[in-house]
Amino acid sequence: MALLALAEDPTAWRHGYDLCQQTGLKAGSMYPILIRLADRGWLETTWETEIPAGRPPRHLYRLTEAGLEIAKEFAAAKARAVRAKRARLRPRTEGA
Amino acid sequence: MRLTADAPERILAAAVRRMPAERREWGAAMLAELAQLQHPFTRWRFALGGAWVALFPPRKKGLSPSGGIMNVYLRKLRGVTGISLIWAPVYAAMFMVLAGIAAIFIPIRGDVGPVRMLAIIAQVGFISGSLFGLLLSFAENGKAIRTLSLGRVALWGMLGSAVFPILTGRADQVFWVCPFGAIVAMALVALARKAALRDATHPKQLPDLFLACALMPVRDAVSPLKKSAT
Repeated sequence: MALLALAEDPTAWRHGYDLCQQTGLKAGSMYPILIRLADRGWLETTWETEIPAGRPPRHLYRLTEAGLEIAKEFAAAKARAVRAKRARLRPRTEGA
Repeated sequence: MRLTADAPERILAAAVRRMPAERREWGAAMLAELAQLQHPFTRWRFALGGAWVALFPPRKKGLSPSGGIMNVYLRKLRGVTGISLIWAPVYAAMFMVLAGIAAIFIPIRGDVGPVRMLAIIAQVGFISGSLFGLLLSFAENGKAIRTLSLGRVALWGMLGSAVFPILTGRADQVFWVCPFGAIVAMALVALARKAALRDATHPKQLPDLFLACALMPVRDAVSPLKKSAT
C-alpha cells in the first residue's frame, strides 16, 4: 500500500503523516515500511528546506527509479492476483 | 505552535533518545511530523505508534533469519500486554459493582481499604489477563477473529483466571474469579468480533474507539507465527 501510494505521483515529495492518512496505516506500521524501503534503496529521503517559523523541518519521501520499478511490478502482480481470484470465484457464482 | 512539550511529544522524544544512532534520523522525522498534528487523539495515536518504532526499529541490514519471527512474537507480546491492561480496570470495576450489591445484603468488614482493595483486584485482573492472553495467543494462533469460538474463549478465560489464586494458595477464590474471567474474555472477544465486522481499526467516533481498543490486542495476540509482518 505504501509503495502504491508513493507511486501515484512519483515526482512529488510526500510527508509521513500524509502517507499514513492515504493508506490508512498507523505510524507504527508506516515508518518501518519507509525505513525498509530506504534501506533497500527504493526510497529517497530529504528534509524540508523552506521551514515556516515555529516548527521543525519535516522529512520528505519519494520513490527512487528502482523503487518505482518495484512499485510497478507490485501493482502488476496485485492486478494479476485480483484477476485470478475473480476467475476462481466466477464458476461458483454462476453455479449458485 | 506548542511552546511546551505535551505528553505524546515527551513519550515519543524519550523513545527516540533510545534509538540506535543510525536510525536517529527517523526518530527526528517522527518528532517533526508529530509537531504538525493538533488533535489530541491523533497526537497520542501517532506518538504511541512512533514510540513503538523507536523502541523496536527495523534492523539495519535486512532481516536476520529469525527477524521476521521475532517481529511476530513482539506483536503477540503487544497483544497480550493490551489484553492485560484491559482486564485490570474491568476486573476492578466488576468487583466494585458486585461488592456494592453484596454490601446491601451482607455487611462487609475488612482491614483493607476500598482503594487498596481495588488495586489488589486490578493486579489480579492484570495477571489473569496476561495468562488469558497467552492461552489465547497460542491456542488460537493464526485464526481470524470472526472464527473464534466464544465457548473456547470462555474456557481460556476461566483457566487464565484460575491459575493465579491456585498458585498463591487462594483456591477458595476460584469460584468467583473463574466466572469473572469467562465473562471478561467473552465480552472482549465479542467486542473484537464486532469491531472486525465494522472494520473499526481507524476509529473516528467514540464507540469505534472502544471497539478498536478491544480489536487491536486480540488481533495482535492471535496473529499467526508463520512469517514476517513486512
